[in-house]
Amino acid sequence: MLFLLDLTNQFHGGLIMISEAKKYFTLYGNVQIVDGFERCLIVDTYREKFFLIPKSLSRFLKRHKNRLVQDVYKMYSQIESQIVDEYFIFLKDNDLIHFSINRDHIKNFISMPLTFAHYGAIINSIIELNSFENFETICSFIFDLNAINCSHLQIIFQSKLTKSELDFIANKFDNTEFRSIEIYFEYTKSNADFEWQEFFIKFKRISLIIMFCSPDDKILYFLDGHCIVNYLVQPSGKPISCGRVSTAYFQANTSLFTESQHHNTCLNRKISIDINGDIKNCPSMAKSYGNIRDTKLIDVVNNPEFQKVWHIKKDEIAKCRDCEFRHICTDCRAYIENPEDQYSAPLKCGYNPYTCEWEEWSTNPLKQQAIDYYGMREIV
Amino acid sequence: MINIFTEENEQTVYLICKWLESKSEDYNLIFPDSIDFNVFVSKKKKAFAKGLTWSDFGSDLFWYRRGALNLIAGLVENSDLDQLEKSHAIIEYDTLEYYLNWLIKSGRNFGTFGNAELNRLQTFDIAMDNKLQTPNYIVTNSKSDVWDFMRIHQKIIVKSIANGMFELHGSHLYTTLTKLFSQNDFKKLPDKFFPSLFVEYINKDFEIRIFYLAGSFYSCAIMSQANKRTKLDFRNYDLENPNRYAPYKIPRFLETKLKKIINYFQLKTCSIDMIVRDTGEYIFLEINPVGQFTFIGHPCNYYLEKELADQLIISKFIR
Ligand code: SF4
Repeated sequence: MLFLLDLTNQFHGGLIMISEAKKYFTLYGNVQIVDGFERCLIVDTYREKFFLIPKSLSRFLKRHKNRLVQDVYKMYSQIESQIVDEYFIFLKDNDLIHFSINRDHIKNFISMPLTFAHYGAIINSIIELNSFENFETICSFIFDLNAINCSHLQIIFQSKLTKSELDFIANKFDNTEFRSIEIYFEYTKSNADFEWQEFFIKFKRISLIIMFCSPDDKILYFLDGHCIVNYLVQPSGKPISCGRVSTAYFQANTSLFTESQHHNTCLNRKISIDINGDIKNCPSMAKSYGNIRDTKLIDVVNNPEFQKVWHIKKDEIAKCRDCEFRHICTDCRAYIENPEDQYSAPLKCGYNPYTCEWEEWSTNPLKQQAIDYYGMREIV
Repeated sequence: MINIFTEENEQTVYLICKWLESKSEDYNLIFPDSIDFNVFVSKKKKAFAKGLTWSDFGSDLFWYRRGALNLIAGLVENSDLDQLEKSHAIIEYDTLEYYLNWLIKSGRNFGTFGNAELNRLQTFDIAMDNKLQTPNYIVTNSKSDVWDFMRIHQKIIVKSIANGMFELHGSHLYTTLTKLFSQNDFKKLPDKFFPSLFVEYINKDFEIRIFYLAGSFYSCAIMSQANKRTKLDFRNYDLENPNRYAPYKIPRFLETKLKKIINYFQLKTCSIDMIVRDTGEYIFLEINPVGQFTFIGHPCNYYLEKELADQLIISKFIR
């Protein structure tokens, strides 16, 4: 049985693919299909796009790829061939399949290897600080992160920063090799007239500045959009997307897609330091692996216990394993539906892959216990 | 110690170095056009230093990636030597460079200066010797030959005989390098002119860029002609839609032929450009020992920089 795509509802008449009838077809190798419980997703990692498709199209592709187009049509009734038309047109218009009269060439379009590797022992780091006074205490730790080729650094101040303090921080890391440094702090009026353009030109490592407690929500872009200043009304310095799952945070890129096949897509090769100096997988998680006062970075990084959560894959997590979005979705292990069970679904996800509906997660009756457990009543 | 000759800010080398670091391998980046170097040759010691780090031509690995070995150009140019003295200095230097090149070649190396540029015409000959299809071409300095060539081939292009422009990326590679030779161009041509290379223009179904590394081929198909839209009402994002790059596996018979050319030129690594026609032909265009490859490795998830770093490490131990 074939089902119409919901995105196309036009009638085309049979065999619209006449020009390709005598050609073979295949999916490009960097276009991947993810099967969900009720429907499926096509992920084009090259163009970083994704498309929801019915299960029947996923089966159709698996069954018929590498076949001659006209042979495919022969297997369906007249009525069904209109749907086959829809499928081909959709696939062709989005440049997801290749046609060729040469069968050998078609077979040479191999699937992309799904391996994931990174040269950094740590890829992401998050450092929370009470105030600028504590900044010096974590500097050597940050240089250690740089030495093991950590790519991204977030520094979150739960306080205000003056201009000269911000300059001081940025300057400190100018000779590091972080690919991006993000700095979060509380808005103050005196920062309103800051010359951001100059700041970003001067400090090439800094890519994002976030000021919470701002009078209004506002985003400013600099240097062709490579650098961003984001003013947020929200009262806390916690990254706003932290743990939340919504279509807005989905990313259809090769890196996340392949990492997701093997690792946890939030915590893999991530390290963080909370305001007490405790070294953790994520600042919102309870377990500490030592304090920066007396623990070496490299010892934590190499600790198998610390690495355990890196390997919790979406394919193993309840609900997510049935979800078509699982390889473009960032996980969260800090807030989960059943805090006793490491493999339970992220708490802040309202998606239901069995009904294909998005619901508000915070009012879901089944999640109330976990919400209470994390003491999240007010911030919800 | 792994010595890499390269240009400053070369992203590919940067990534390779990161992979070397992840395996705790020592490396030495040498920018051949800087003067921060020392050379020492005696009966017993033949060595090269950047700063305080000495690398022995006999035992350390050298890899030439990019940049001309141009160690004294600055010294000579900025000196107050007269013209004659300058040219003598350059001859002295060239001779030393020849020797250094030979030292690298006979020691552990992953490609050296001599390999950087292959001769296009010679490459065509070697490709044909190995039964690879190549485009038809002529090198001539006479208008009447061009006329004859144009009568056989509907479209022809002019190409430089030398290699020259390596910096071009991806699908722009040929379109920028080669120029369609029109009737109008022909009219303007004098009867005799500087010898030039004319190549038949070949209709392609797609192109492939192949990266060769230590026995393995990593290929990427580049769809130069994007699929024509079958529906008019679809969102019009064609303009920002780049050509599709997709992982591809070249057939065995082609690998075998290409390996023969690669062995002929004694290359450890190189990039090869080919045209593919639906009728089944693979047409050899060119081979570039120092070509860029990050732009094909990324869309196909091949981790070529990592593979290359691994090969450098292995090469430390083989001659
Ligand atoms: S169910 Fe899991 S994979 Fe699906 S959207 Fe929610 S968190 Fe992401």
